[in-house]
Amino acid sequence: MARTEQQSNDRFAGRWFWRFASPAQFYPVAGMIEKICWGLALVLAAVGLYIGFFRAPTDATQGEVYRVIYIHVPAAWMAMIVYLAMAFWCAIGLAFGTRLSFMMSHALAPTGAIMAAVALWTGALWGRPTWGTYWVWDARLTSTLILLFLYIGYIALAAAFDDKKKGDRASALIALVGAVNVPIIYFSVQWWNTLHQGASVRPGSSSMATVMLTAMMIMTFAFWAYCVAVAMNRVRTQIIERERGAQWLGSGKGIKP
Amino acid sequence: MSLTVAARAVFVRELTLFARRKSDWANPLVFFLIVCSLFPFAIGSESEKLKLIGVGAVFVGALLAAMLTLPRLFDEDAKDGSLQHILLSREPLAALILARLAAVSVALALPLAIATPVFSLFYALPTDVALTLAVSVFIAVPTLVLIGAIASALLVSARGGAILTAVLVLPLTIPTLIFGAGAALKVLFGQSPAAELALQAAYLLFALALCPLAAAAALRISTD
Amino acid sequence: MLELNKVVIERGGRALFAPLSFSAAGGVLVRVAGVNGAGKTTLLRALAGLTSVESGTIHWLRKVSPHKNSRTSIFIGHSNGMKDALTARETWAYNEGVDGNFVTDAEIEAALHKMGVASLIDRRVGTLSQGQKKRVALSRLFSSSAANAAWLLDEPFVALDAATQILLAQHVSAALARGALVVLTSHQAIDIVAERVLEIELTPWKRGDA
Repeated sequence: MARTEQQSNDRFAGRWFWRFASPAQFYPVAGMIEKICWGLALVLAAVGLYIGFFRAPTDATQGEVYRVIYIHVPAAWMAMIVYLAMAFWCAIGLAFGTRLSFMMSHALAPTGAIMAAVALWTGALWGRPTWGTYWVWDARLTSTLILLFLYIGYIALAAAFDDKKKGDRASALIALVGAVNVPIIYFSVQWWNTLHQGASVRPGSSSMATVMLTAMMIMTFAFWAYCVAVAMNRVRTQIIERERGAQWLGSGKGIKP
Repeated sequence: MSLTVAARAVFVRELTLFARRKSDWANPLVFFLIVCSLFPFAIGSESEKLKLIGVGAVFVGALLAAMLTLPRLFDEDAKDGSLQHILLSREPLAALILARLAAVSVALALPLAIATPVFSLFYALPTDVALTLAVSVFIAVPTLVLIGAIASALLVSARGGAILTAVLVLPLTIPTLIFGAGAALKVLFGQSPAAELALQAAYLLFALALCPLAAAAALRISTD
Repeated sequence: MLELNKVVIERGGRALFAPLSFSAAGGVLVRVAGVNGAGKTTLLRALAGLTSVESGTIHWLRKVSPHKNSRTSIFIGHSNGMKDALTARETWAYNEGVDGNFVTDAEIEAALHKMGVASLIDRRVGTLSQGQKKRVALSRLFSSSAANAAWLLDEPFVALDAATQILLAQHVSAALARGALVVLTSHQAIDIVAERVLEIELTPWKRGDA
């Protein structure tokens, strides 16, 4: 089932895109992506926050409070996108037995969980002045809460195995089961609570001012870049931790702090 | 058909075990009773208040009671070595797991569903509401068992079984919880529960199609 | 015919023994030896198909059997794999049934009789002694489905009394004479008559040693 690096290299030899499936090959690439994404995240966040806080108009009904959406909405989106990315890497890992795929999903999980937590936290801060209470069982908040549970389940399961390889595949399976269930859970939560605010951002038919939308999209890309940067950082740590015994690490080649 | 023989052997064995070890299904029942009796102490004894929370309390109580047996689904067999028989069988593992879960579902869902209208009396629920609740519990418990089988199979070789099972399983049971309790609430408010029950049954069918395969894969991973 | 090619099995990221290659045909007794923790049980589990190998291959090559459903191997491990709440008869019916085989009461009785435990047939396994449990578990080797399979026996003589050990040894010898393949781990020196014996010594190994 699980293959050694030697075998997977043999098997995929000659196909360039498999080259980076090897942790040794991917390590320096991850470092490069991390640097680029940190830069992107900082620049985009600066621009996005500037537009959001200084250029975008005050909301007619909610006043200044609404500006929390520049954090809240991108975080909620990223929580979902990161889960999809995680499930994708889990599927690849289970299908091809590539170690790096599991490391990727392990690296993404904490970021996704943090995004879900940030979305919930900012949602509560937004809810207090808007609805008069920190928590309402609004469909989207509830779905994000369930998403957070799924993240926690994945992380807890991965940590529950003494045998890392078993933990990899077990948690990958539960991530896939969760991914299959997410749409159903979303649907059932919508059914349960039809009294939520209609999604206000839809491509083409936006009820938001263009400036607000621009700021929000820029912030979303900033969050996206941040997530990639942090995940790359974590995957590098994982590579070092897991490949302790490997030759390419022993030589010190390619390792830069 | 050797598959029928095998599935029957698994099914019969499981029911025999439940018949011999009555605590396996009686303990969840007692737990269910105690949980149902706790809520009134916490919220007071006015029957109008009780009626409103009764549906949810009874339903969640039944789910938690069924949850109790999940960690033992595969764990016990792994410990005494009898799990190897289904793993080594020539028949498809998913089919054998399905046969086994069918037996477990029957042994858990029947007593819990029968007890549901009785325990509903604590909450002064009208008869039609209580009966609807029994039906939805009867659909929900097999759904929970199917989903729980995946978690239980994964946790055969991991630490922290019972709590981790709950963490993994309960979020995935939210649809059946929403539709099941929703059906009984509809009846309480004088409407038809058909839509909710149909959706709840659909989720059960979905779990029926997916979970045995996933549980088989999980068992292969954790016993490897 | 069993063929192992450079088999490495890992537990918790550590290879258990040096890459193992051997082949054994029917009628051969394979004795697996090694210190505690050398991986004897794990090797047997891998041969049965319960554990996957890290690298290398395990091949079972077999003649076409007259029974289309006959098993490749029968694995009897340390744990007897029996439920305390079931009787010996039910355990038997389940073990065979889960493989898709019908088993008659007469066959169960005959097999239990051979291991000297026919009187326990309707006793619950939980009420039996360790030795009796072991005998019930080993009686499976007298089933018709075991007749055409390779036997993987993990410490089969443990907990048996002297007379039963001899009985079992005779049964294993007979199977070998019939052309069955038997893989056995045992710390006990029991006389098993075999024309060809293959001794496998599992030695601890660290990757990079070779």
